[in-house]
Amino acid sequence: MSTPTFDIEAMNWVEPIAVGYYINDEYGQVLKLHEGYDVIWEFLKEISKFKSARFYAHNAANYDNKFILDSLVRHGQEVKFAAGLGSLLWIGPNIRFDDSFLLLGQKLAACCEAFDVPRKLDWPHDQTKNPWEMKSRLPTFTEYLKRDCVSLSEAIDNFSRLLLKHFGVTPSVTLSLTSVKAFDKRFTPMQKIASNDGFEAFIRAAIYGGRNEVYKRYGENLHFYDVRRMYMSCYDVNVPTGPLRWRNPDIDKGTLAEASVKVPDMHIGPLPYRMQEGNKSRLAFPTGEFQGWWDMVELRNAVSKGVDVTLLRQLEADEQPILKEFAELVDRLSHESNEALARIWKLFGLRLSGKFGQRRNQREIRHIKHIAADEYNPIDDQEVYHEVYTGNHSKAPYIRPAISMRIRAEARVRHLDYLLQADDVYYSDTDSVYTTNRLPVGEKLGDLKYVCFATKAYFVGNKFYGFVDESGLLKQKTAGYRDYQLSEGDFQEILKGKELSFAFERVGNWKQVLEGKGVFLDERRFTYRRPPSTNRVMGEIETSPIKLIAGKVAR
Amino acid sequence: MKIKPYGRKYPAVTKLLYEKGVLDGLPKQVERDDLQYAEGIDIIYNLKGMTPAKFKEYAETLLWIAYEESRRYDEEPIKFAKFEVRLNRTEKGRKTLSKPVRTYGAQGHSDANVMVFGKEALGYLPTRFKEGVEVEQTTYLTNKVDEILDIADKYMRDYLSKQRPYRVLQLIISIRRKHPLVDRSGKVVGEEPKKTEE
Repeated sequence: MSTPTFDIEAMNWVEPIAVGYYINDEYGQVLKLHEGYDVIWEFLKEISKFKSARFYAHNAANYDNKFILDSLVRHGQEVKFAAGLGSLLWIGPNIRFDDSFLLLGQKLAACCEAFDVPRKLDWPHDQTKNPWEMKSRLPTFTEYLKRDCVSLSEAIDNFSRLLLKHFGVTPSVTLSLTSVKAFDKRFTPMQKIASNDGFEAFIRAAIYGGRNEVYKRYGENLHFYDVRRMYMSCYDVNVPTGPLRWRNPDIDKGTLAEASVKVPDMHIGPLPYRMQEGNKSRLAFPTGEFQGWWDMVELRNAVSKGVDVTLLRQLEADEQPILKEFAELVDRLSHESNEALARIWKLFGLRLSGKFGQRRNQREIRHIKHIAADEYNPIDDQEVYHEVYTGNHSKAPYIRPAISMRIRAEARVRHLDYLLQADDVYYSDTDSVYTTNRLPVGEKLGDLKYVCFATKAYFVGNKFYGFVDESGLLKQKTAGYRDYQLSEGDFQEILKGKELSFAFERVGNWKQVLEGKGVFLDERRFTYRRPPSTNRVMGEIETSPIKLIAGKVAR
Repeated sequence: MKIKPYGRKYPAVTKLLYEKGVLDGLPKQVERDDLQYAEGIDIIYNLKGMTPAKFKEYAETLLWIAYEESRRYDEEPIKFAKFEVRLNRTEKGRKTLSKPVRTYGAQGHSDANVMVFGKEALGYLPTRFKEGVEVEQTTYLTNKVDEILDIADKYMRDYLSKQRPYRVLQLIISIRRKHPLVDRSGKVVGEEPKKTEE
């Protein structure tokens, strides 16, 4: 039996004109027949006979499910947000609408390549019109829609078969949940790993993200390197599996500790620290004196780099390398796969440690039928859906933050070693090293991989840089911004302090849908600019670590 | 749910604010018979020229009004209230803050006193767990007043006009009774749900 799928096509992104669906090896479609024809509701009526079905659409959370939600709410149907908009449950016929992007983590075209299914067809979206206006183009359009549905279904089928064969599990809502269920079934049952709920505040305080720093703002003749599967390469270490307990502080023992540290003046600080800026925090690697919670792996490494560490209190748990075999199997599967499928296995492996460290869901959207008087907190005008705060731990059986803490700490330690190997370093981000030096590369997990050469590079801020490659093309990385192509001159001007503003439109969010505003294009603006503050002291070209005295920035 | 007319007997605190010119007219009671799964009444207070300084001055009185109005419907199971606030965005603010009118609403409660005054009425600090850390539960109307007063000083400081950062437009007190056992079509849909564990 094939995996049910659907796909919504719209004019100008917000006026749906067709819905294709594939279920029980048969394709069906609903086309808009005339102005005022509610194509989404007609589709929903048509599929309501498939009780308890689970339909997938690619990128549904950001697109298709907004239309589904809008239509169901407008027609007084009850929905449940099983995983935000990533999994929407239509209560009446018990039909689920899931986002396959959350499961596969790649664009549909890449998924087709990964699972060797017929390629997605091309269709110029600016030519999407009302079906009666498309005339001779209509068959091409419907063929495109059909192929999207069928290919997605086949891709998920193939992935399901692989998961069953190698791990004995079927796909869950997300790739990370699938990954942790696979680990639970094939390797170590979750019940055997202590959740350490009672110590979670300390563990969370010792969890930090990857290192992302600008060391020099402009450089020439740079080599860009990445660590091969950085996080998965750290799955060979011992991770905390037993219950945590307090112990007498000892730098050679223990799992995590609160410590007071004195980091001598150095170019690259070894310990992460959250700098508070109003109600936000920024991850920095400062020098000077400060206090915090860290994994012992990171503290021991800091001592080896000349940091003076005074342990204040310490926790300890039994530790075992329980992720090692999982990483080996996923790595083998990657090597046996084509390039596109290898990327999915890479994500599959990576997401495991991410899932362990997932934040507990504090808010839920519930139907009025499922709330008590003191949970009445309406979102929509009809007061049908309510935002409810939960503190329910039992709903998160896979959260083991201590494991995530260890993997992240180990990854930062290994990344730091690579940065220190490179004498003249310009930029780093989690698993990358951009330097003028040549570094040894390898094919194994955790080895460096050569990415590219840059004749010139402009590092404006964290995750915001541009570089000219060997063929003279300017490439830009501007995470958090819309990728409007900047010129080399723009980068030079921005580095000097100039601001460049742009506007764009995007589909409104689910709250606006629930508020009865429908699915519409919302205008957003953004400005490319040099960030007003970063996690290092920025000079004209060179940067240096922030220096702290008693946890405060030294002026 | 039937509206209880004021019969010219407005709460004393309402009369006081009206005489002081803080209210833009007397409060209106609106029956909410348009709701799918509940019925109720909205009591709308339109506020006049409620700038940050004025709001700071009258915040406690407005809380008192919310309490008095909710108490008039003490027998009803759900009370909640909200402030509608118009943000005066600067050019930079217009690029960042997409919604010029924001709602600061208290979560529902059966006890008007608790819904409005939170910890003061409870006599203890209400908390919830966030990532293993016990944090104060700030879902009461008094907390929403604090959030509004913080708008200009804290998280939106750089995006709002320095001189007139915002204006509080309305205070709306809502009284509700759920239709717990039947939906609009009259179909039995279940029992009154129990309160979730905190």
